[in-house]
Amino acid sequence: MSKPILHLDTLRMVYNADPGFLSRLTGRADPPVIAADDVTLELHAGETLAVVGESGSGKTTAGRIATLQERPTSGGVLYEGQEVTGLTGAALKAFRAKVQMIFQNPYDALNPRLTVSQSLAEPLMLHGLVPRSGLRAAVLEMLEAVELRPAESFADAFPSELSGGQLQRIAIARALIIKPMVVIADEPVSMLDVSIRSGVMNLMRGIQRDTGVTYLYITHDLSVARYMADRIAVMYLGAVLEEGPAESLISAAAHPYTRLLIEAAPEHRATAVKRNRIRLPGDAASQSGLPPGCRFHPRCPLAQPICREKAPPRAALGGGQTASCHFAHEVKKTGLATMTTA
Amino acid sequence: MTPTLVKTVRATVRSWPGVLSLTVLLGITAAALAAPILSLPDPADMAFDLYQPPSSSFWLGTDNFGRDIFSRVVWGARVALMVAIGAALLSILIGSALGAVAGYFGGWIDGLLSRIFDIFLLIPTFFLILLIVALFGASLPLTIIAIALTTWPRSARLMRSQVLTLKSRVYVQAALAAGAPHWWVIVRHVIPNGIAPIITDGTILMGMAILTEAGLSFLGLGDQNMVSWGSMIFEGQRHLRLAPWMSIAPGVALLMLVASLNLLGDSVNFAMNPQLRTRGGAPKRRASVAPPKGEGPATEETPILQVEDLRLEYTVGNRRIAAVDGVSFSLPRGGALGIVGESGCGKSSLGSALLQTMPNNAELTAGNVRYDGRAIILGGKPVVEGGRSRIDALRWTRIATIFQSAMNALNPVTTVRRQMMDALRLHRPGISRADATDRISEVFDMIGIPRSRMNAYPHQLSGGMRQRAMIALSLILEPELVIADEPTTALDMLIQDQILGEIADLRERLNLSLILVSHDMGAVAESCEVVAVMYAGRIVEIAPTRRIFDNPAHPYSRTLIGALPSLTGPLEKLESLPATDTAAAAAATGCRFAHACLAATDLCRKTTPPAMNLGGGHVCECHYAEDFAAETAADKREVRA
Repeated sequence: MSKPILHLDTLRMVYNADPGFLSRLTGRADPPVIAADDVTLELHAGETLAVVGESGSGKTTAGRIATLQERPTSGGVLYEGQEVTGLTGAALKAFRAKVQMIFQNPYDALNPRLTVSQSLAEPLMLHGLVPRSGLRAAVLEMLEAVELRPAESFADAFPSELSGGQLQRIAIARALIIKPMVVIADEPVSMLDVSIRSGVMNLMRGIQRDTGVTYLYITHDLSVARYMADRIAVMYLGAVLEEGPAESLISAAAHPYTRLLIEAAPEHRATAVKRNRIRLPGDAASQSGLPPGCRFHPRCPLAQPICREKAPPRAALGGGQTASCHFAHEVKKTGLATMTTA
Repeated sequence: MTPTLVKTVRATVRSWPGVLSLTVLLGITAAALAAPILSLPDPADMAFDLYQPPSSSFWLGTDNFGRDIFSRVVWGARVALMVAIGAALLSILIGSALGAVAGYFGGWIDGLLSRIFDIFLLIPTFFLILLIVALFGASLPLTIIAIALTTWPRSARLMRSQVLTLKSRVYVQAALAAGAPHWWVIVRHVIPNGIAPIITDGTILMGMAILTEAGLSFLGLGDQNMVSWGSMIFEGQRHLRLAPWMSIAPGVALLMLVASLNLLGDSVNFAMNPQLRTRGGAPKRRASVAPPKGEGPATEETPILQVEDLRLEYTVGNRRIAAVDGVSFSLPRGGALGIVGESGCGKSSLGSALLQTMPNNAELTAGNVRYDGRAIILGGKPVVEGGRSRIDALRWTRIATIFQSAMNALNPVTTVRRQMMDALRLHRPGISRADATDRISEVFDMIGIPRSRMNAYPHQLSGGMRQRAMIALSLILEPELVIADEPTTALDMLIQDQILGEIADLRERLNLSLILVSHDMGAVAESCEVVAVMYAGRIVEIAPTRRIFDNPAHPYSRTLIGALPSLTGPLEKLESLPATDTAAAAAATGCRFAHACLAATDLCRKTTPPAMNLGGGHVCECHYAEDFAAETAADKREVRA
């Protein structure tokens, strides 16, 4: 395969690593929070990679590091093979022109005191891409591209006059107006109503078809990931547990966690009137203390003694699918049900 | 002019303190500005009419040198306003710039600047001014600077706390991600959005500045070449017996100006803070009705809950908005109804109306609700029996709620066990401690919370455990009906699935009746036998669960189902509503959904659709319901063939 356009290389991100003198003295230091432990993701030009995980899985942290809004504790970010982790000043600004971000909350995405056209013109002004006289035309063209018509009336509106779906389209327009190569989208539709959500997803797919932009699409919803992405990476407690082409990952998941996520999807609730729900033993994961061995073993219905002792290696399963599980091959073949008897 | 500014000015002008203070302020300012062109006697002009009381020639009398006091009060207003505006502007400028920098960058910069603010706050104004006067002599600009030097930390601290919350706002993050330098972000995004409360506080600062200047002049430390109210009061007090009007006139002027500045600050603050405006007001005393005569005893077949034509209206400003607009349904004993809809459709308002827990600006305007055959709401009014409304007697003991956010619904300062104990002992006064503990343990076991977590505080529990505790709290009194409002929305997928499973299990074991309010079609499917779809305050379609997924008859229900991406089915392009759709855009006449419906005809836009009964408990408010229901079934056959 070709060289990745964006490469996150064994990222680790620890908050509160140093609790400070006074807290240590009184013994009341909060434990450090490991937001990302071992994140490696490769993003290839023109594709969409979806990162799926629950809250606390580190998916948002990975996105923030990919845009250099935060610097990792260790590990590196490579853009077109170049190390960019420590960039500052003009080089950082040049990187930001290439890698843009769409945020989760559309209701807070725009400065309430600026009109839509002022907000959209801002990135163009910052990077000096369009002469002042051409700003208005560029803004109107972009509004047309995100299907907000008539563009003229949207351009002069204030954010408070617009609905959530319209605001998120404008936030998308702002990220794309400087024609970046990569866009990191952090749950861009999770706060929108269902009927509006699909329109925004279709828009993002259409723009990708037209411009060839690369997406890193962060979501908690596997079905959204399947709809948007070519490849899916499943994260849990700061690490990627499974990765692979969307279709093979969903039809033949090799990690018990992925299997459980698929089981829990609302669609299955809608089709199966009664099904045997697996009662998970553990509770939601905590980011402050990682269990020894496999990080998923306390909640895993298939956990064996080896899982408590030894961290599983990343197993290659063919066709670009990998999974970090001692029993990846068995799970891929037979799923959860047959394994429980073993 | 930004829309917020226009709105603030409008709201200020609407309140009487706002109008009063603005009128006084404008009057004083106009007089001060016009002082040179008014044909007033020179304030320094000494006449021979000493100690004249107020009369038609000297409106406020004259002083010990025969100077006209009215003219001196008007000229004094110039000094007062100059001091007020100058000192307030200066301290806002310095304060918000330094406060913004401290809050934005944090770390050692914040530490250093915050200590500087503290040091300046400690300096006594008068001491500093005495020092300045001693060094440079008394003059108005120096007085202004001295006042600003002691007041700017106030603005700085306000701005700093504003910026601390502003810097995590998405639009600030987005500007940084777009490549904006820090100074750009501060000037363009942070300060304009944080300045409002500082300006409000500025009116209070102005009042303080005027008083300080008056105090200085009273001590003889003001600018001797200018007429100041303070120095007038100072001179007047020596002649208080002979000519009391000498100090009364400037004193009243001072009082009026400062009071109206403070009043203006209050009313602007009130106008700008929507939280103070909308929800306000004590709960309205709602009219009640007596129970109807001839209520038969409930039988097994009597539905546990019957709702007829319920209407709930919110009063927002001068407008009334019907959030629930004629909703009827009936829930059999042991049954489960899912209410599905998107934000603003009225599903949560409906839930709160059933329990009469609406906010103070909401009111039921019509409709009947019967619980177990007994009327609890008639014609929109609560039914009262023996001095107590029937709903009060049912709430929590027989009808319980599960709220969306367990963190907000549980009391953070007491343990979970304690809260359950309180609920038990409140409703069952005779219960012994041991029995109560047994009952609590029983509920905890049922819901899957380990007993070891019983004494935990809500914040010590994970999101899933907290939601379980919330469910346990609602079940502790063995209710018959549970209303769950988005019980799993804030939870992760695996936990969400588990909690919905718990609810379904409990329903079976305890023969609970359930109303599950959710935005998620999939979530209600497994737990409910009947699903109602709400749009713009009405139930537009209601049907048995399987039926609504297989043969949705309303175009809106079809969109809701078609908009969900599939995980295992074929990958189809998702349906969506146009970006312009909001329930608020729904027209008053015709079908509410017509403005967004792809199949809408002239009939839809003109005539409100009747409730079409499609048989088997399937009712749909669409002119073309029969066609749609049939079409979906036909499509299905085609796919299979």
